[in-house]
Amino acid sequence: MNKMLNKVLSAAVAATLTLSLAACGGTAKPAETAKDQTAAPAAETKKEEAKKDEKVKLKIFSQYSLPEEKQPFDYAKEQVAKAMPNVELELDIEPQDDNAKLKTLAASGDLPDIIRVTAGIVDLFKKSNNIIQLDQYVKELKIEDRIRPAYKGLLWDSEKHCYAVPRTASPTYIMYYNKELFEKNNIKVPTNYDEFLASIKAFSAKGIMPVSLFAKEAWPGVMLFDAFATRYDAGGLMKVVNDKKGSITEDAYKKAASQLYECVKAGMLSKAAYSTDYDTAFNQFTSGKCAYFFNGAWALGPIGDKLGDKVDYLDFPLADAATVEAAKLNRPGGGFDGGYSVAANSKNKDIAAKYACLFALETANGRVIKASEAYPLTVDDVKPEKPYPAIALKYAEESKKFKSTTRFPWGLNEKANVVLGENVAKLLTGGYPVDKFIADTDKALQDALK
Amino acid sequence: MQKDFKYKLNVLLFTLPALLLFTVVVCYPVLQSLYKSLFDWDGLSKPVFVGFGNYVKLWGNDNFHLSNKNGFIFAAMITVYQIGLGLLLALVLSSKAVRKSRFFRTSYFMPVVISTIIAGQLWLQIYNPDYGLINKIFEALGMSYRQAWLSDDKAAIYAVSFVNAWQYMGIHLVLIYTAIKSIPEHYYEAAVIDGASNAKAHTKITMPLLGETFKFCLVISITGGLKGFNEMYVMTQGGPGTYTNTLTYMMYKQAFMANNYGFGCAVAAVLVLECLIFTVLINKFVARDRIVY
Repeated sequence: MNKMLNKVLSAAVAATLTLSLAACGGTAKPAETAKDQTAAPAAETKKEEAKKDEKVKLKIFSQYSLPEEKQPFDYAKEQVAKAMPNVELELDIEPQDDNAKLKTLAASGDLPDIIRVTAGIVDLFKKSNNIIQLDQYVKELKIEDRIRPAYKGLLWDSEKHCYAVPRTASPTYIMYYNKELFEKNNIKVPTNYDEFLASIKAFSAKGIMPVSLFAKEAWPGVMLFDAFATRYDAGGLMKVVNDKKGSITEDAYKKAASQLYECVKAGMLSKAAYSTDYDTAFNQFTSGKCAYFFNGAWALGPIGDKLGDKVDYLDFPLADAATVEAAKLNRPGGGFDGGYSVAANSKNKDIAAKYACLFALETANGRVIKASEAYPLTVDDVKPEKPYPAIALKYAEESKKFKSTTRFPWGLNEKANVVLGENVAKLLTGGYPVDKFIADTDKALQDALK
Repeated sequence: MQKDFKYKLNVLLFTLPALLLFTVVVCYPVLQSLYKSLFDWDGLSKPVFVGFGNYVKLWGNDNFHLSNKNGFIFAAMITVYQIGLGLLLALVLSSKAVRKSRFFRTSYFMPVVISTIIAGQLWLQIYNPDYGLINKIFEALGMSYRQAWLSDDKAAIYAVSFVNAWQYMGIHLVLIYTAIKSIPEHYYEAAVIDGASNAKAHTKITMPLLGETFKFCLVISITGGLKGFNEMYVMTQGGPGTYTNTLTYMMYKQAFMANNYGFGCAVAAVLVLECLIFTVLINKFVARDRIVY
């Protein structure tokens, strides 16, 4: 009987362990040396050419929620299908989860073939060999020739290698304002910081929300701070965080923090700002319930469509009268704003890389055609389906004159980005003194940037 | 002797699969987290061993102390509300004087089955400083008092905790109610014969016999509070800033947003330790002896 029991027990233990180990072992490791793999695509190319007529299924991880995401995506898919008809694209929709899903997929070796990436993700995945170098494909497909001269730099990293092909040009941060609301309330459109502060007080006194900020997310606050900081130092936060050429204790940042704090105290933000999401903030602005709206240039089309002539943007009159003019072409935002990379564990790397290169540029074109993005990435002759709103045309023209740009928070060092998001959000509550903000942020940034 | 041995073997045989599964899905990850907390690791690249460096950094981190404090506030809020109100309602509903007690039990339990996302969205509207129900009530009462419930650095954590307290009170109500109903009726009959009042009967019979239930309720509410996450994720994203961060939220931010996986594991290790300490303390000091009349 005991022997029987022993046998049963042993079998049960073995079965359970086998099952659990099998469950753990299902994850493939990311490629050890992605760089080496790009060096030997020639052999793979031959194999793949032999299979030319075979259908290839590629999985893509990309945003596909808002109409301005869906339409360019569908357009790009349609366009690339003409050049690569054998590729069947399967979409894995990117959630808005701070890249948690993407990082988990990478950790388990399950990255889809093509992934939408931000600058922060490129750095992380490059370091961990989760994405491949695309240099060869960029050259082969003459991708650089199709990109406007001003944006060619977006293709290459600091070591002149390409790990992601951009899918948009460099949108900057924009200070939108509702012209009609200013006129109706007889409030002067500001030309410098004092006038901006006065306008905030005036709107606040009339019960109109001065700024609609979707502070449920951390980045709008960080960009707002960067908007103030770039008035006094063109490098903004990028200088401190990515270039590591300064400190947040410098006067420019202290002044930016002081002015931002003063504006908050004057009633700049709604008390509900921290539970306000993008859709709510966008609707508040486009329905005429608030005077200013800070967002990227990607919103020019949707905002222009909704408000027409009632909306315009300002050259960030957030500096003292003496310096405001000199700083007006220093723009916060810009830089690499996302593109497509190819996973190192893709079974069809060669096809995926070609597809990703073409798909990225066609997405950029789709953003012009379908979403009225007025700053085309490519030299292709593409026109928007609907005429550009006046505000978008103005931006397209004026953006050529920008003297400097920085980066959006997703292009900054990720550890530092979290620190900035947290501390700027505290500053925006109006209960976190400027000195403490500067001291705490400096300490945390030093730790994050070690 | 042989029979006893066989019985033990049977117990082992039937519990082993569950024990192994528990080891794989709970113990192994916990041990892995403890191990990874000794590394500087972004979650993807090769980890660098730093010993207790992450713990030293953690101790010097202001956000850690704030997150820890918030966890205790969260746990205290939900424990007092859920067990306190749950007990009160269970006593009332178990009374023979209350008719339709099933309707009330179902009503109080209803929030439990709502998803946290829906409950969070509901309370976001209630807390809205401009048009939310609470501030509108103050307005209707002619009071000038207004509160930015989720934007205030001090009020936010209480406001978020209350949502959890409200939503999951029903679980405690049902647990306590069921425990009360399992107390034999003749205990109370004997108490009445001895001249005990209703209140006396409850303090001398109901409360002592609920000891085991309270122990369980305390463990789930305190550990549930310490590892609070869902409400913050849905309503405040840990903000404003870090004002509604708990250790779980801090761990999430560090691991998934800052690519600071080793540091995140250190936060997780502290959280596991805290939960274990509270569980041990509750088991040691609450309802130590099973009372049998």
